[in-house]
Amino acid sequence: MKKSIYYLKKASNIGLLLLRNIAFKIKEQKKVLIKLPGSRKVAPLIVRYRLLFSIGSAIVVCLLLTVFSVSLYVITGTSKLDLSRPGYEEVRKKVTRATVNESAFGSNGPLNAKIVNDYLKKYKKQSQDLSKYDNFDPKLLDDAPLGLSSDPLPLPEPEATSP
Amino acid sequence: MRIFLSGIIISLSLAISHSVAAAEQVEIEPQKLADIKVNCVGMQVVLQKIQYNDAANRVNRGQAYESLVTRMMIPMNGRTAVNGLSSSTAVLAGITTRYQQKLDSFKNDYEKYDNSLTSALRIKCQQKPADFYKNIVDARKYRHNIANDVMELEQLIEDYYQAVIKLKSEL
Repeated sequence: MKKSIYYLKKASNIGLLLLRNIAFKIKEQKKVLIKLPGSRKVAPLIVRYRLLFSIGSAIVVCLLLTVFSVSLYVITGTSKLDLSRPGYEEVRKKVTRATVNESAFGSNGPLNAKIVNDYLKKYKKQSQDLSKYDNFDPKLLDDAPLGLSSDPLPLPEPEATSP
Repeated sequence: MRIFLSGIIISLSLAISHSVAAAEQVEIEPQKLADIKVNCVGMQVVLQKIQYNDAANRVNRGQAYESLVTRMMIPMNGRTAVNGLSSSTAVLAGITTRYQQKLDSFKNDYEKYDNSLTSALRIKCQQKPADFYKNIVDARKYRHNIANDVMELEQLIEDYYQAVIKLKSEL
């Protein structure tokens, strides 16, 4: 925690430096007069180490954006579905590729018995595809399949799920 | 900045207290605890395999469910509406809405289930056998919820099919 606070402080300091640099440049060009606290001391340093400062700023911005995107990746649950993670090489082979151009049904047009029949055939085919996959049998996590004992515990009551 | 940091600290402590409270709900016999301690490494291997298989299963099922609703149900609802079949549209749209809600439950339950499994895999089970087993009990509960979601989704798919057959008879 202390480390993360330290890094956050560092990042905010660098951001402030960046702002001061911009303010200094603008001031130098005598277009607008913006004065930030302490800019007289810092600005010459930035000018002297301009290249280093630019590289540092770029790295910090990249780090911040990376932290932001990884946080989103984890928080939204996308990481749970990402099979490109290490260890999932074998699992990737089991994933069926979605057939995008197959079995699409248009939302416009007439509706008669023949069209509905065709629709029902496609619908049945797609719904039957689901039977190929495992239905998350709860018994798989009983004690016996996990190698603990032969007496499976009674399943807990299912949690009420919000609609 | 301070407010942001205190917010993070408060939410972390709430999350920890919640998980501790959830973990304290299960009582384990001492003999069973000893068994868990002996067998837990093997159990973790089995759990890891289950987690890998479930990941593929979740992706496959998720794709199929999404495909069914976006490529079959919603277009059919649109077509019945365009053709002025308002009563059928209402029935089909109702089933579609319930289907989408159940699909959201399925996704949420899977996320909770995967979190419990991940916790069980990350824990040093020989040092903390009780915590390890409590995570398995949680995972078992969530897996049961997922199985219920799958059954209900299948029922809704069948309901929609029957509703379209009824629609055909009315044409």
